[in-house]
Amino acid sequence: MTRQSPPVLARFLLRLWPLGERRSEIEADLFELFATRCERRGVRYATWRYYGDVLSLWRHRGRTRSAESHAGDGGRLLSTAGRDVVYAARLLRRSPGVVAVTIVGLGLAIGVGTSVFSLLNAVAFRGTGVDDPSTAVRVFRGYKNGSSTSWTYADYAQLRDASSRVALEAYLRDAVWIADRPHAESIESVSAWFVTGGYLPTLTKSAALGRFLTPADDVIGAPPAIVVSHRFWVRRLDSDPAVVGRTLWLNGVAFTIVGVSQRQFSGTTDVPPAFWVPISSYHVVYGGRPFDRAARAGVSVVGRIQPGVEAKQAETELGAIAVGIAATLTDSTGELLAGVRFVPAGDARSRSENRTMALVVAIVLVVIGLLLLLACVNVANLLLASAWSRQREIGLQLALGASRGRLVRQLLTESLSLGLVGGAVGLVFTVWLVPILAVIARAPLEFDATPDFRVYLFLTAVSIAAGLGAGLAPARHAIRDEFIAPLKGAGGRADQAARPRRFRSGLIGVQAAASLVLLVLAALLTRGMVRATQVDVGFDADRLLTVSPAFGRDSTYDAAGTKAYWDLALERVRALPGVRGVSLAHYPPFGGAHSVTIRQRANNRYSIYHHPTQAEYFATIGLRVVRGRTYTPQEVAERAKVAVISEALAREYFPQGDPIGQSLQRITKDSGYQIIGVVSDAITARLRELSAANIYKPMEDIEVARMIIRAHGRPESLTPSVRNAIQPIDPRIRLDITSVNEGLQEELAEPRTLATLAGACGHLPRARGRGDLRRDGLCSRPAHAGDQPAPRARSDRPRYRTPAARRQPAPCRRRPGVRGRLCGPGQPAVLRCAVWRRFGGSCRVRYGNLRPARRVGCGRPPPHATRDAR
Amino acid sequence: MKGDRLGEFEEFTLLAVRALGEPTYAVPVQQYVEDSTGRNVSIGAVYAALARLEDKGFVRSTMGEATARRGGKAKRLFQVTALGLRTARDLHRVREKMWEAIAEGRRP
Repeated sequence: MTRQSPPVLARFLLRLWPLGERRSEIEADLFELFATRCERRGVRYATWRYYGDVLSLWRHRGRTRSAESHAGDGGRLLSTAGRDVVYAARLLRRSPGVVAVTIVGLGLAIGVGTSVFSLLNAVAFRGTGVDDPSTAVRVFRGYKNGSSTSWTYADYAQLRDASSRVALEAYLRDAVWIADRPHAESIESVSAWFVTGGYLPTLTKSAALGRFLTPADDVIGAPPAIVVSHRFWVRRLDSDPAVVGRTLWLNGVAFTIVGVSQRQFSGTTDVPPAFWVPISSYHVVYGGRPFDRAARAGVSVVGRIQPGVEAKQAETELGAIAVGIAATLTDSTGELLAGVRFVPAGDARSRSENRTMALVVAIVLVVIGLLLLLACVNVANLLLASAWSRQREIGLQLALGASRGRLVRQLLTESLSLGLVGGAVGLVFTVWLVPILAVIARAPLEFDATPDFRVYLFLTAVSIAAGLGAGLAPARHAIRDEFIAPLKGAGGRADQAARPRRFRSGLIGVQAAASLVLLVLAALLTRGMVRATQVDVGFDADRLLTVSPAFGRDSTYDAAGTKAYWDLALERVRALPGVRGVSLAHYPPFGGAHSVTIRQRANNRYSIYHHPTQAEYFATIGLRVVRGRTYTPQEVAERAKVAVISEALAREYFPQGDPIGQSLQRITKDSGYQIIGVVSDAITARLRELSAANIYKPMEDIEVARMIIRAHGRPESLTPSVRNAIQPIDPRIRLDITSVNEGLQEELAEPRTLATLAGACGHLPRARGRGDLRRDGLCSRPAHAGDQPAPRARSDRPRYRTPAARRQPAPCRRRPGVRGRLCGPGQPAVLRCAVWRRFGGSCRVRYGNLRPARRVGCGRPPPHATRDAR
Repeated sequence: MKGDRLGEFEEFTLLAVRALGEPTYAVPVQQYVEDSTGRNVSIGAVYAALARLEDKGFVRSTMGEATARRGGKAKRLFQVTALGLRTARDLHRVREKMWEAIAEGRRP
């Protein structure tokens, strides 16, 4: 029979108990008990009782612990850690200056690191809050060479009814004006998702308040109801606990709030909309025909795979159903469906976007790491100096028999305490810095950077790492033999004083290396930051306005009524001075795109956007005709089957030949359309994808059109006159007039946020590292370049002034204040910008290159725009 | 804190030490109390009770010899003192008197 031994974990715990000189006796007792119980009742019983006995020793520790614990006892860790902390606090109080500098230095580094991480966390790590994401999918239409996100509502309705293994729901996104009273002055435009009744219950289990929308809400004629997102509830409704039952006016129509979503839920996107509205209410908000089974409006589809069904099996079956349906419909683009494609609904980003995000995360984390390394080296230098000044005390402790391990622990406790206090200071910095960084990065309103558990975990880990990292080198140095030397009086070796200098030189070397890496990174990241905000979209977005009227429920705006409205509006706007061009289109630039065909080229997927427009669209936007011609107003009126493609598509699909006269079928299997022209490339849909693959066709449905206006000068100055011209046509219709540049800025928000984070990370240590190097003498000031020593600041002032000189007023040597220094030209742009924003106009400094960057989005202006500028 | 008096568990422990034949150590005491009372008794509670009894002067302890069975480790041996024995007997006597009174239906 094999001899059993007590459980390892319990023995480990036993070693931690402070049992003192009774340890051996107690361990033997416990072992004897274990052996006896094994014999009598079996190993399992003995094991559990062993655990119970070990824990009982802790419960009765007052009676079982000896008065004095001995060296080497595991319990010492627990019993002496408290004493180390007290001792550390006493010692640190002795040198408050060093401690203050250390804590502020560490706190700043930890604060900046955590702030950046908390924004990164909000951008990259937060999920969409979809329950059981493995069975929730977005359903794309699959073709031979790509896929499309868009279904017609009629397609969706048929698919939903025929599908037995996947519960399907549909949604479409749009912007609405909201107000909290019927005719409020202060209204704002927010994003809303129009969803089918089962959308929310399909994706998530419960609401934070009230209830979700149900299929009963998604019936034409049902009382208008909405579910607001948690973010909107907090920001706009002041976290009102009695919000359920309140009324909000969407485009002038009253909707009752029936619930609030959970905080982490954002649906199938990474940024939650303001609210979810039943899709059956779409026509109530915007006019047009209701969403019945024959509606041809584009929607996206999500599904929940039924329990016990394999995703692949469900995909195949749904694909077969979809192919059958598509064959009976004439609405689709004409290309034959090959099936459907499932994409995880919990993943709001595409694979390539995830790759980019991972790269950004890696870069930012590396930079944070370097920043912390720099802070640690700084603090280590300070602690090293402090340890050197305490050499006599440390030597005495060694002489009295303290072990080196004990001393290292004591020194590490000191630095760890510093790290934790620095972490607390860092938390304060974080709270202060996060909103500033969010403003600098122009993060969107829905952006939620409130620290969550990940941020606190990061902060704690970083504080501990910084504390230990800063204390390791001084502790290692403190246990060297020469600390005994001071006790020997003058008998110590003469060269011992040089040793810490060599050691510190090593630290400074590390500092220099880290600073150099950070300088290079800062340069690269700044370049990336500038490039992220200087995307060439292919047209001048600065001078474009869009007008979106909200046709209300009571209006009689059917196709004919809407056409009459737009005809009058176009005529009036064209007559306005300062208007260069006007056109209607389904989607103004960066104002949405529902009709998308996705293609695969090598390993990259790209989107082809379909733009139904009027004939004047090209001149209004500023697209150059490269080949052929654009369609005429006559062709638009006749709904001719002609199309214009962008240069990018022409290059891709007609690399050798001439696309003019060819069928569009070659690109999208869109039978019947003939290509009549090629226009210059422009990114008008989603900036994130940087796809300039566009197909322009004559506009058919005027009900969903929006107006695009090109101004001669600043578009903002044109807004009042446009409003005055259009509003009188029907005073009941609310007009949303926005600049295209605003849409572009929203599209730019995420890359700019990430680039700013990376840039801020790179720049702050750059300033810090440069200061450190100067202080350490490794980097000379530009003014004193060369080998000449820098003159002392006071040396240029004459010590003796002649009586004549005394009568002259002394030269003004006013030094800049703290704000001035922070905003001064020597500081990094991000810091100056932060201080400038923080203190506003009271800060009288030169802003240098901080003027609002108008270059954003301007890109390469088209020839006519350049002419205008002249 | 029960001062110089005996608590229930202390009484069990004291009687176990006495019953096991002196001198004895914590393991047999724990097993004796567990067997006698029919409830699980942790070794920590026994150590604590023995320590309190020692503080009150009811038992005294000495370190025994190291034995091979315990891996060459010594055991702490306990022995009931005269004061401990007297206190236990007094307690027993008081209880007997009270039970007799209950049995006879006498009232104070």
